[in-house]
Amino acid sequence: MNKPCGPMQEGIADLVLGLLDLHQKTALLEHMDSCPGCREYLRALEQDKQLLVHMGRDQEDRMDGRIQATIRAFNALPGEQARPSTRRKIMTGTIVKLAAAAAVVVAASLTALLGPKSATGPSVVPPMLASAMAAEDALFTGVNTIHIKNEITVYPSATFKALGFTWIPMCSLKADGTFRFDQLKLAIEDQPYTVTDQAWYDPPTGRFVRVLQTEKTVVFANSFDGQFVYASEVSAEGRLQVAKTLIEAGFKAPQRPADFFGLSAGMKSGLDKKDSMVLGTEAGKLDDGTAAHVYKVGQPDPNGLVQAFWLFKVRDDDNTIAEDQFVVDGRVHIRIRRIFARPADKPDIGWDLAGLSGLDASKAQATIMQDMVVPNVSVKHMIEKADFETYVFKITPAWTKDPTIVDCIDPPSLGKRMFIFTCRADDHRHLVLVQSPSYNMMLGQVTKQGTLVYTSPNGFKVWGGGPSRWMAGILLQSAQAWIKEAPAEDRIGFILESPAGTFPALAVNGPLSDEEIHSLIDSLMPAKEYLKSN
Amino acid sequence: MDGLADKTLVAQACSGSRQAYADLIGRHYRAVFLACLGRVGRTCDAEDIAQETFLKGFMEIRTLRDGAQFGPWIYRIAWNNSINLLRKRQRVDRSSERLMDPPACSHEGTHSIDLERALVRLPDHLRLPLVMYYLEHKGVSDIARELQMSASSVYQRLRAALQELHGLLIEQGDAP
Repeated sequence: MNKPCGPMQEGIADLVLGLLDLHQKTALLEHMDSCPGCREYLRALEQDKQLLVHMGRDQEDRMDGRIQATIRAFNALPGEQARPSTRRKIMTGTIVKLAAAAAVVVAASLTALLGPKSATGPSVVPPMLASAMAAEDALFTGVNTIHIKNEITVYPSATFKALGFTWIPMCSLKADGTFRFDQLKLAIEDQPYTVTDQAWYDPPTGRFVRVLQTEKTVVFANSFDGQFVYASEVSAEGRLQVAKTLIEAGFKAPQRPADFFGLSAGMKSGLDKKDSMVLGTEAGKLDDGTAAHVYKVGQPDPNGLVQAFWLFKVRDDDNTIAEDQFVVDGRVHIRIRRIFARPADKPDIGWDLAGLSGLDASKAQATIMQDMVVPNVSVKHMIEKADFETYVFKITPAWTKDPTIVDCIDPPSLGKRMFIFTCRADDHRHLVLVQSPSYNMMLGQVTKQGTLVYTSPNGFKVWGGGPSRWMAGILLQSAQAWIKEAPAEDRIGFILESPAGTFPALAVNGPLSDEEIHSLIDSLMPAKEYLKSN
Repeated sequence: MDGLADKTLVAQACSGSRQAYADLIGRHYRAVFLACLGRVGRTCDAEDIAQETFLKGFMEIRTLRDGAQFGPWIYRIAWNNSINLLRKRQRVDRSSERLMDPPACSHEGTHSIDLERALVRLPDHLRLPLVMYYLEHKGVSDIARELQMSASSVYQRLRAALQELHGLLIEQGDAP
């Protein structure tokens, strides 16, 4: 590289900054006509300036999201100007932030996986997005094997930095033909990194192979070869093992492959309902400049703000989905991008995942956590899986029906499970009781912001006020896949302090009389005792 | 006009109106965030400080005597919070006895990440005018007034900032 002339360097910087008058500018440009070193220096500084300009635009683009996040944090402050020390404790507690973020993300994930299951009605999905999803479905038809390659990019995240990971929901096929709802757990690193998601699908037979891998190792694989279902596991020594299971009687291969491993996975079931979650559309561009439409898909939180959402980018030229972005607090956490979708003779690694066994998976930045969500579990299952005392209602209230227990990963508590008990109600006063290790850890402090409203003969203390109503909104939203309605304005929430020192959180989607609250709390009993007596 | 409106909103916020304070956040967030960014250099730190500033502002709003001064008042809180973070950062650097570059936290693409890293490494007295000039789109005279220095000093700092930034990008192997 030619070096710029020493005395000219400051002048060139001034030129780039736009600080020179016409006379100075002309003189400098004349010099540069005959000086390649100075020309090169000017070009380099101009490019630095463009980086700054570009960064400025990026910052402006993200400003609204930041403002909304700050207003949301402000609105989450309990009560009217509570004591400063109290307020600060609530807002700055990492575990509270994480749990709140986790709950919202879990809610979004569950709804995407299971759909809100609202009353049937005409779809209100925008035509172009519906058409793009149809194009995605069409990839999995015909007579030829299709090979799809997507890239999942994980970005550094201030929101999830303390937790150390983020995640997306993922389905894998079981030998009975049903899906297992897993969690693709993605480490948060200082630099972006990529997980490659490849799938081969043979439409006539329903055979498929799916392999997720990072630069370093295979993360997960799942396949069906017509007779057996294969799934990878990681041994205690960090080696991949492939479990082979004969399909069960009545097995049916996935009927809608695009909903299983396409770029629109989970979207169709989530959107093809009366309560569509498309929040907006705007014109945009892909990285290569291709014009695209961008669809914002998500759910407002109980404060009416959208904390976490997906952006689906649909190419204008061929109306296919090009990429998805998962945004939390105004920042892109995860991007899933289509690299190609093309015919192939057969999978690179065989329908039976031959060759994967024994590979080193100990250094994977991504891991599969099985059973992110297990719907409709029994009381016995809950007792076995929980590492704390759990409680159930001896008698569910007369105004409720359809009691269900859902077993989920408790995101802030590594390797532990949370349990969501829900009851629907014809008068909309749906009931949600959440018991989790992270709540047991954090809600004790939060009760101090509220007031003791009732002590039950069974030893339960009921705390109301403080952030209880806000929490009720989060809980009701998390359980929306089951209660099938958005949180109501007149919802109420309580934090319960059990005789065992745990802190279940209770939300009711409407008002309750004192008598109803007392009766409800009085009927709580340890799940172990309930099981013995039933 | 803005002052009058701020005064009204502050009065309403002091009377318990959350919407009024949310409006104040909407109105002043951009300036506060960019000021924090200029001071600390790292996007995620600036976001945290800006948020903390507004929450703290709400807690202390009753101490603000003249609501029309909300802008300068909240800006001062942000400034102090930024300085606290820089001191903390220095303590951490000293205690760990290493001169490791703080990692960037922007994720808008490789250039943005590398640029942010270089910005964090830029000396404070150069980063601030550069951010004000390119990200806040302020003119030299405005920068001079706000930083209480002469216009010629601002010129010098902008020039030095651009040159030093280029040097840092080359050092990082990130020059375009």
